[in-house]
Amino acid sequence: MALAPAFGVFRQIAQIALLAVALSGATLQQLSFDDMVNQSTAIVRATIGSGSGRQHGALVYTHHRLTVLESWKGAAGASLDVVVPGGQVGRLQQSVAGAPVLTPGSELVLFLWTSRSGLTHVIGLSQGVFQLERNTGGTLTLNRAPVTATLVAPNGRLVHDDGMTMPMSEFRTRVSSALARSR
Amino acid sequence: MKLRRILAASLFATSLASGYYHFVRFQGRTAPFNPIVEKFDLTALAEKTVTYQIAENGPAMLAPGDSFPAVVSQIRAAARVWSEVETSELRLRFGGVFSPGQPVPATPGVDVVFEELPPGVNGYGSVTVRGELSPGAGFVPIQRSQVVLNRDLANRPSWGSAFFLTAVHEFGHALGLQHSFTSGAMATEVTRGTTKIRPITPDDVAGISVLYPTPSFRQQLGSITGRVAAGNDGVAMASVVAIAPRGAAISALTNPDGTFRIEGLPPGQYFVYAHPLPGALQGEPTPGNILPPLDPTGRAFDFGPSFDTLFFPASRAAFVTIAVAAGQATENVNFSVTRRATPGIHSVQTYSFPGQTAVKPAQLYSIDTPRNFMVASGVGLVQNSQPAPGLQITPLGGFATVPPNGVRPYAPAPASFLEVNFQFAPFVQEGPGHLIFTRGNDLYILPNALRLAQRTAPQITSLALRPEDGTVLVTGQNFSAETRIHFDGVPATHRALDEQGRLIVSLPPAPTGYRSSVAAFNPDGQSSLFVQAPVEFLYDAAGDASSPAGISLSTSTLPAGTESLVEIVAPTLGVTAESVVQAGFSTSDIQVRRLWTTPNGRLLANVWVSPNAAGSYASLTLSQGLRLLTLPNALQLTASPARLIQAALPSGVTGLVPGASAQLLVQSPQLSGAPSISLNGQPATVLSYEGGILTFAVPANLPTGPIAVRVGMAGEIGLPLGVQVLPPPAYITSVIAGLNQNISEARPARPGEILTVLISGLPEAISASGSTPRLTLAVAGLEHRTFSLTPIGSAIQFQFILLNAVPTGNLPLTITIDGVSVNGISLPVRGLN
Repeated sequence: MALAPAFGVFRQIAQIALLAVALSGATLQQLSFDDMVNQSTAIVRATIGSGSGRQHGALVYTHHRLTVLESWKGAAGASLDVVVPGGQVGRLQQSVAGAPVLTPGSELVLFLWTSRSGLTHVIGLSQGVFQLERNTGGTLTLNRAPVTATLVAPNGRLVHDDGMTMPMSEFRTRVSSALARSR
Repeated sequence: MKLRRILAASLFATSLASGYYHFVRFQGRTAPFNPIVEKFDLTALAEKTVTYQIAENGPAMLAPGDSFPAVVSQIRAAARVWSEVETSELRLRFGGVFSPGQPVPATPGVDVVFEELPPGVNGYGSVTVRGELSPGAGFVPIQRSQVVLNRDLANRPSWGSAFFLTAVHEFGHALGLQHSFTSGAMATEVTRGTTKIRPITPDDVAGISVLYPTPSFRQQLGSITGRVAAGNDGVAMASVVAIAPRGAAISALTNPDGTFRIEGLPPGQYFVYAHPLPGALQGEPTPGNILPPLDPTGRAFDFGPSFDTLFFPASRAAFVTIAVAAGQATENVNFSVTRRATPGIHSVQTYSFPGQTAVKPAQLYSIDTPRNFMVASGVGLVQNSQPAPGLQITPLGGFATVPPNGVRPYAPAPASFLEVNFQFAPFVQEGPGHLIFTRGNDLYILPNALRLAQRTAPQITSLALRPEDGTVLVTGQNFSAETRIHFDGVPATHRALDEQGRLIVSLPPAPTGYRSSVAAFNPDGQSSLFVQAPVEFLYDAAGDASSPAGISLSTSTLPAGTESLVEIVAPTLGVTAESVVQAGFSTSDIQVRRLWTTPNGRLLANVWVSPNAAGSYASLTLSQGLRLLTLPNALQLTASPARLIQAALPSGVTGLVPGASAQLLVQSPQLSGAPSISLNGQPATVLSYEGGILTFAVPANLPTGPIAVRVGMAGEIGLPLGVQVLPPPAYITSVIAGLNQNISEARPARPGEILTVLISGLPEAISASGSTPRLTLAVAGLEHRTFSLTPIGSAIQFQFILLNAVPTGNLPLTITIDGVSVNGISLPVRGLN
């Protein structure tokens, strides 16, 4: 069935987005919450260890040792090695605009992805980083900067994501639901 | 008027700091803030050229019909975009494909690599520098930089705008640019307003030219300086934009004390506005993903507060223009802004629908088309599936109006998108259109929000090989003599536009069986990709090959720290003297400084080897059109010999003139005595040798073309060096003012007038090559911009405006064409009185 022109046009917006939705210095695709749940290989709450830069061919990655406090997806052990692009090796500093800053000692929820070569990255560069805070009532809450732009996701759906501040209990439920939907 | 006070102060003399969108350091945390940028040290690189290499492993997954050579061709096209900026001295050269496991070269360069990137990341660019900041450093030299692309390109065909514009963007980062917010290549993808045939904007040109300026950059363009303050506090990292109503939009970011300088402005009138950086979006660690400036300890400076966007001097509408003059700074363009808690409207993107494909930014037409409307989305535009209350959209400069009810929900997706309709003014010109969005206290300007054209996009109907001459007949619509046909990333040489509106183009070389994606591009910024997928062209002619079989080099080893002539035989390329071939040796430590193709099918290459490259092997990559041949381990690099003789042409000398004397610079630290010299094996007469400068007689009967020059001393013979034997130099036939007034002592030239120059005696190759020759002209050392260049056989005619800045007197007029000097003359210049 032929799409009505207007809807055909809308589909084309989505197709453009499929090719090139990006928002940063790196060229990024917007990921919805469900996308991140489904495409990550591990989802953890962890404490960030100190970072050290290592050369990988032409690239420098900063390796952080994470102490895993809680895991919702993937077979994460008690600790794991996560890399972010850029960092310092000897006297050389490689700068990558848009790379996440994992502050040693901080506690974060991270959506992670392990490549075939074995390096574990944060998904979507910084998109998979969620801050954790205790609110005035002492409840552990999860924060992420709001998605203030409306973009079209790679699968053609509009992404409505206004950022989030939610209790960890709700976050756990949403992750479980997303995982259930993907099965 | 005070506001328009133009101070003719030298741009170099002022202490006001630039606040551009580069990777910036400061020597301290207090004013004055003089930015120290991270950039390539062109003075340390031959011919001010940065070599880039592409990782041989390539993408692991490709879109249907795509190929590694096609990907490489698009990456090379992206690099060319930055290499061809006229006001930037930086040039980029393809150095071949490299093995990601090979040692990191010592010579600065760019590595293009394909990585397994996590979901949500398509690529990034980075620079590598020494971390510490030396006291008194003028800039921080980039040691290497990286363009990182995804190994999975299954959903990103290399012919697509997305892949190409990403490569252009990431190359921009690799050369030292950060983001700007003016819809150029270095804008974030959300607001980027570029297309494949117009991949960069004046903002990008200014950004790269500030890093690597030619002498003419600051002579022919102007600047605006000022400060953005909230109360008494300077606002750091605010974006200040100079925008011509239908022209350039060029921006800069403020320093920590709020001062700014916008450079690279073509002379003219500009509105100027200051706006805060958009808040960090999801996935952005900082506003706009800008890496903030650092102090010597590596501590970052803070971003300034958000504030209400303001047009200069203090209004929410564009009323007052600022005059910008060539070579001058317009100062005191100061803003007093009001803080606000959160950013207002921002991150607006626009689309249109010339056909069944959505195009970004919106492409509209001054003619009636069925879908001549624009779709917009962005923060603050939509509430409850309706345009946000009070939202108004106004074209800057009055080229169009948005009629009542012209802004409405976009029916297919009203929750996020608006449909915006325009009524265009009569006789409206083609070009960019900037839009102003207002609502309450919100003011948002989107430069290049749309492009206006007078006819629709080109479209290809068919491609047919013409067996009689091997060219291709391209049938379609909306072609002109300026339409260019690209086979993947390689533009085909234009041959003709026939009476039926069909194009005839040369077929770029490619191996048999190669499937190329073909698209048409018009100079108005549109392409056939706006209305159709690329058309496939199958190379089915016999005789081509893609294997490196039969490639051989005249030597299998080269010593470190040398430059010498290497002969390359590549039978499968079928090289002729007219062939366009590039060669690279997989690392920036080995560079092909000059390459000749010869009538007998040989390639002659002057190959430079870094002093630090000993002990490794290098592969050879030969590229010709869409052919890409790689010979692994083509050269072994050995230690520098103890008794080395190294010859080189003096700086600025491009070759030998038959019958004249010539000089070579000779380095022979371990040797002494009288030198000898041979040209293609024939001894030549040494006239003198003093201080390492060897002067010799060039035989008058040497034919034009490359020859091998060898210098001997104390029983040793140096490595051969390839040197071009030049044709007799071209000469200036006439310099004419007005219709037919020959410039002479009786009728001297006057500053400000247009002069027409005719140059004769050029090699046919320059005027018949089909490409525009690169021409430089200086009067008394002051570079001038040339225009209206017309090749006429072995002559070239062009015009220039004699700058008011030239002194009077008989001044040297010097011209080079494609790097070759023309015999200069003395130009009499007098004032009007």
